[in-house]
Amino acid sequence: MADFDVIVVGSGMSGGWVAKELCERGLKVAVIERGRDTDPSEDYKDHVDPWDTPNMNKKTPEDLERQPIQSTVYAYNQNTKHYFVDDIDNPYIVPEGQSYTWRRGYHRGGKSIMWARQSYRLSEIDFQANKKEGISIDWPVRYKDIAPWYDHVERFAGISGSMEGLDILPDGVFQPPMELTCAEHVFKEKVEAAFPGRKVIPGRAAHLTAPTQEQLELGRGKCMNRALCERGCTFGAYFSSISATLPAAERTGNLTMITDMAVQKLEYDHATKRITGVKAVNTKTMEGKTFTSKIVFLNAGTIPSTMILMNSANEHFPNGLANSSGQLGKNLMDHVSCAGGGGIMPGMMDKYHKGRRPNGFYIPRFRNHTEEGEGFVRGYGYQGRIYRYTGWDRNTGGIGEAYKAKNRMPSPWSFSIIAFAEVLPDERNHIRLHANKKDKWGFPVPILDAKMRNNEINAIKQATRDMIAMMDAAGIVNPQHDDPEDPPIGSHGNGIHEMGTARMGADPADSVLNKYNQSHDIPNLFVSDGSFMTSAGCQNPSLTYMAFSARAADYAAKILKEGRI
Amino acid sequence: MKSANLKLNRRETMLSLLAVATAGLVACKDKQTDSEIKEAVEGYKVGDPFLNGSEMALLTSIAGLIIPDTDTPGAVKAGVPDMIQDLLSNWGDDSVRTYWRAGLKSVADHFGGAEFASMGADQQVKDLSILDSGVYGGSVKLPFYKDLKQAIAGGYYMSEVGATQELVYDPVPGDFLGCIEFSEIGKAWAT
Repeated sequence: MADFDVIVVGSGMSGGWVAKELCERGLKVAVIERGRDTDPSEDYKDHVDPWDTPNMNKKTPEDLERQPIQSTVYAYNQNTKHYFVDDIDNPYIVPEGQSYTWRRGYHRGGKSIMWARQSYRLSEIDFQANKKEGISIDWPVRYKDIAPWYDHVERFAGISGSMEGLDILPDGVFQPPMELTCAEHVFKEKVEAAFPGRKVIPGRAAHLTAPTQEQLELGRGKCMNRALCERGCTFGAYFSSISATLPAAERTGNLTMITDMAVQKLEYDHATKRITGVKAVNTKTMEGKTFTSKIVFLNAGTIPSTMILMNSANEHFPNGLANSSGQLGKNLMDHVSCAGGGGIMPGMMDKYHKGRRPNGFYIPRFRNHTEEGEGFVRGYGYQGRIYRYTGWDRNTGGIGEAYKAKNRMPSPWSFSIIAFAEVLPDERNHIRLHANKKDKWGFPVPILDAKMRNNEINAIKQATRDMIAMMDAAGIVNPQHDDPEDPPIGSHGNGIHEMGTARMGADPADSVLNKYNQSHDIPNLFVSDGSFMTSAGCQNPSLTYMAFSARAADYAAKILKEGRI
Repeated sequence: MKSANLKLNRRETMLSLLAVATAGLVACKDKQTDSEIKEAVEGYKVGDPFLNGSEMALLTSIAGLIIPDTDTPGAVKAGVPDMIQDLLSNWGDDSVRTYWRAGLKSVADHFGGAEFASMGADQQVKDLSILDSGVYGGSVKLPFYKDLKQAIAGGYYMSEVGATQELVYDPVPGDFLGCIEFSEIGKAWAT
């Protein structure tokens, strides 16, 4: 007799959804999280005022020593650093001459606490792209298969956004959009007039602007526009597994939450072709333990889920469990978040904004859609904002009363923007385990071997040119931007959207998962974190992970109840 | 990235208040005061007040001149010199302390080695104004001064006095309004 109906490995963005959906269908579910428990009353630092922030919010020498990789991310500060891993204890290897920036948090809730909350659907254009262009393999699903599940997750999570009727970026079940600023309205008008194929819309973000009864019952409230989100939100106003999915799972009475247990291996019985056990180690006591269930969902995050499968290799699957296709670990993708720019929108000095909107504007993809791209396929969207910031942090000249008076005024309307470009699936971009190096828990250290290639480089060149042209059209002065002929492209991982290493497809010969996120090889194994992505789109991917996770959980519950597993 | 103030850029973090510019550090190390300074830092026990009396006096007088009391309290009343003392004593490491000790010395030296803190108020305003406009105008090479000023400004505007009296602090705004009359607020938001 198994300990649980289902074990979900990982409690973040996707694992929370799987747990919720399965618990609500009456199944007994254990979520196994390698990190510590998250206690909002202790961990959330959203009540800390600037003057009580440790070290004037300056990174300590110890931060730089223990978290040299994590501490470079925008979301890292003295009130959030406890959500990021210790880089010394959690090593990874990058081949000579390459880099990979792996940002992560090991605690209940995972990156759903620190995420940027931008929530966009993939479109039919995205699901068809691989097939149309003969790149990688075709998605085994189309937009119509996923659309109802996008509706489902949006309704529960709460996404603010505007209905725009765009085929490149389908509308959804939205709560009211957040307002654009005066300057953003001007930018929108001028850009849309100069470039009829482009749209500037309010960012679609997982914040409650008009909470539903269901959301209120879970203890969630309306967004207060404090923009302290990455610290954790006491109002539960943005979606995280701590604010939304795990409480929903818990109230069914069917959830067992296990923290501080790092899953290392899945045990496999070849006679039945089933996972028979989940081996984990207590990260504090080093004590090992094996849990059993009828079904296992991997939601540990793209890289860790792939590592667990690789570490579970056996005589039947010598190259990694569930890897008869040979695709496990390959096609590692991300988004290029580059082509940044900034400047000043002159005028409107008599206007201001109230509140700190945790969101910005969005420009949906237009290249290789309404306008051709030069030397690349797919495209990019932009995220940006035009805001009046505090004046003092510009570090300008002057002393005394005049200096104080100057700093009492906010900055002019300051424009900032960055592109998120699609990275193509490419088998050369991959994860493998080091043959003998291990971390302190005895887990093989991963090698992250990925490069930005010509398609991405050409896209970012054009994204830089397009951004300059839009700044120009909108009358942005003092424009700052990269050299469009040689823009920096960043390393893989910089977008914090790692995905694709257990892709889904119709053919077991060239894909790891089927269209329900179920292993082709092992029917009681599902993977529904970013690993399943067959292509990346250019949209922030979390909403898509949520939709596929809910759908996969629904399917798993069905086949379990029908005795088909 | 050329811009230092792109808040959505994932490749860069937000401004740092006690920036230790590598170039600045190297420049300081080229000076022959280095061995002296190093000795002083090496003899320092973490947790004790790092800045000595004359350094604190210099820091306090500059902080008070840059952000004086007006219709709101200034940097000294807001406790900025103590904040910086605390940061250097409890937060910083030897490279930061070395940089600050050398930097404060470079400022003191700039004023001809005289005790700036004990000059008359008019003289202080005059001398500091000349230094400030020289540094920001580019004619005076004293890179530490900009970091000193940013630390004073950061300490002040992030303090309770600076945020709630000098600027407008709104911890829980509620609705976001994207376009209102500036006159309704009248000053910059603190955050």
